[in-house]
Amino acid sequence: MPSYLLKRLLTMGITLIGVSLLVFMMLHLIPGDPVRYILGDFATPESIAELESRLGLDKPLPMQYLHYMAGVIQGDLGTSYVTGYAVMEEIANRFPITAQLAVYSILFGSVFGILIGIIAAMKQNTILDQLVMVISLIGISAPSFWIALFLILLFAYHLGFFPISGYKGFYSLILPSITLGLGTAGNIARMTRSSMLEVIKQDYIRTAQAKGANLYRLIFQHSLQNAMIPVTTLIGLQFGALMAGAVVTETVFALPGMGSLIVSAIATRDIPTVQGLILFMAFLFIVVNLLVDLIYTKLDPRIRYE
Amino acid sequence: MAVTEEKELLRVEQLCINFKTEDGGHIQAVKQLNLTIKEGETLALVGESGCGKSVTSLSLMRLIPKNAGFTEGKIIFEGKDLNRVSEREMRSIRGNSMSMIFQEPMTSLNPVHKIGKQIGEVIYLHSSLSKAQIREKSIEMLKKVGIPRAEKIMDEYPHQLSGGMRQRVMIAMAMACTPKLLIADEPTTALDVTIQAQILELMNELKKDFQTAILLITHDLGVVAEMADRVMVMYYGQIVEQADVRTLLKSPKHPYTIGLLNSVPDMDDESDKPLVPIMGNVPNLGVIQAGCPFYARCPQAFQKCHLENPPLFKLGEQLVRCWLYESQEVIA
Repeated sequence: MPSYLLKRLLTMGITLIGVSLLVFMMLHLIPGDPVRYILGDFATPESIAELESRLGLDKPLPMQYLHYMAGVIQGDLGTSYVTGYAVMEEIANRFPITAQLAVYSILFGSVFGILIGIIAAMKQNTILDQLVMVISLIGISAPSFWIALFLILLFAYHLGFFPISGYKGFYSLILPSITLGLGTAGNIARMTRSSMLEVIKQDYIRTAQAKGANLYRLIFQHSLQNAMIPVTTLIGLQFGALMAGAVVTETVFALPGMGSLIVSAIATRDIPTVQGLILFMAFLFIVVNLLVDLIYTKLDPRIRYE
Repeated sequence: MAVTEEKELLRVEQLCINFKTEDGGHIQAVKQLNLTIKEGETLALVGESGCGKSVTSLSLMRLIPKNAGFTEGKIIFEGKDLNRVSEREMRSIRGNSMSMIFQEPMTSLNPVHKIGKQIGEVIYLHSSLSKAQIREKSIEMLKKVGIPRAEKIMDEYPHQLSGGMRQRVMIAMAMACTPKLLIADEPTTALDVTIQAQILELMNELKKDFQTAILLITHDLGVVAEMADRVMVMYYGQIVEQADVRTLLKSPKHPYTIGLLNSVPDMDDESDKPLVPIMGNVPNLGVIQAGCPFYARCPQAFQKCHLENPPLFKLGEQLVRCWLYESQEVIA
């Protein structure tokens, strides 16, 4: 196990280098000069050159990259062009909100998705099953900004249960979490359903039945853990979709998280902030999926890492 | 192994098992089957794949999914008609007074639960023992089925055990509540020959210890000779011959039984005579035919066989469903 973890950490490092390289090149490929953005339309060539050399943008690209990465290794993600704060600090400020949002929506999506997935599987080919399938399809296919607006209109504007926008503690995260979690719930419900249907056909379920186990035992003691193996994979992968979804959701609900930060950073060509955020999100994604792989060993004793 | 006058444990009357087909109709997999098992007796149900022996065993436990098919007739077990008792009562019978082991030990145990938990579960479901007592009893059962280092196995997972070991665990699980009837559906088919013999011996031992009757489902006549007191031969969802094991093996009457026995190699026979297989296949259940279902494969078939399905004729203690014995008394 320790050697496995070491291997995983090593590949994690390589992946992050790949991500950083990709993001770095992409940001230099897209049109729009951050220096011109900062100095405005009437900047003199001298001031442009001066700022470029101050930001290190006059050096060749490989040099810029190496310089950037040297900082990253020491935990320095650079300084925002726009605010002048350290990117690390910006992330630290924004992260708690996005983290809460991610945790709540994963929780909502998993619990709700697994629950209705089980119901659909148990009531296969009935109206209830079809209803669950339709709801999950809507959850998956409806754009999150639309769901967000719908929820705001109904629960915040008309019923007044929740704040319309802005961050005022847990209460203000409920609608965003539902918005973000619905797609996850839909995917998880579908996966749970098909996985459960697969498991209840297995011989060991018949054995449990022959032992006199009731339906509740059959589902929760004998099927669920086996059925959760592919679902866990999906939850890990959904985390990536969640990070992407957070960008839209945080913007619609005006939450000061990493998602809304990245939107404004892209708009202002704040390269260090964008780079830092993407790198950090990739890091989170890899860590979450490493955790998922470790959870497998708890779910299925046949899986062992050497 | 002579069968003395013992109490009747299970009586199946006119059992029909129907499966729904895609076009909304249904086909009959088992047709008007009658059987009885006395306490402590081993009855073997023999036949080729698809003759209805496995569904018969599942229907006794009422384990055929409701959406797949339905059964008719009476299944009287310890005086109760299992086709009429509530689901709750049925659950209290399953694993308790009637238990079952299956063909595939590799897939019949839950891969994510420890052996101890899986044996313990059946004891937990049918007794009020404490956790410690359940564990103790589970270990005792594992020892009874000849598993070395039983304490250690309790904390292992099925994938850590061999096929033979897993079948022993299945047997320990099935016998944990000292059932009156053990249904063994091809219990040795998936195992090595040497392991097969061990498992059969174990089952015979336990049968004596626990006074358990066994319904043995098999296609292996060697196993039948080893285990059974009485034999029923099934073909196309119905009983074609029934006799005690000696009579059946010595003087089979039905052409199908004769065919089955001829297709078993005789190790004592030095001559190099080739095995005689039964030509053709079991007819498709969906096809409704008037005559004897074995007609097309029968070397002794004549005109009448083509026209009418024979009833069971009685020849002493032996029952045969064949027009060759028409002069005999009709049973059903």
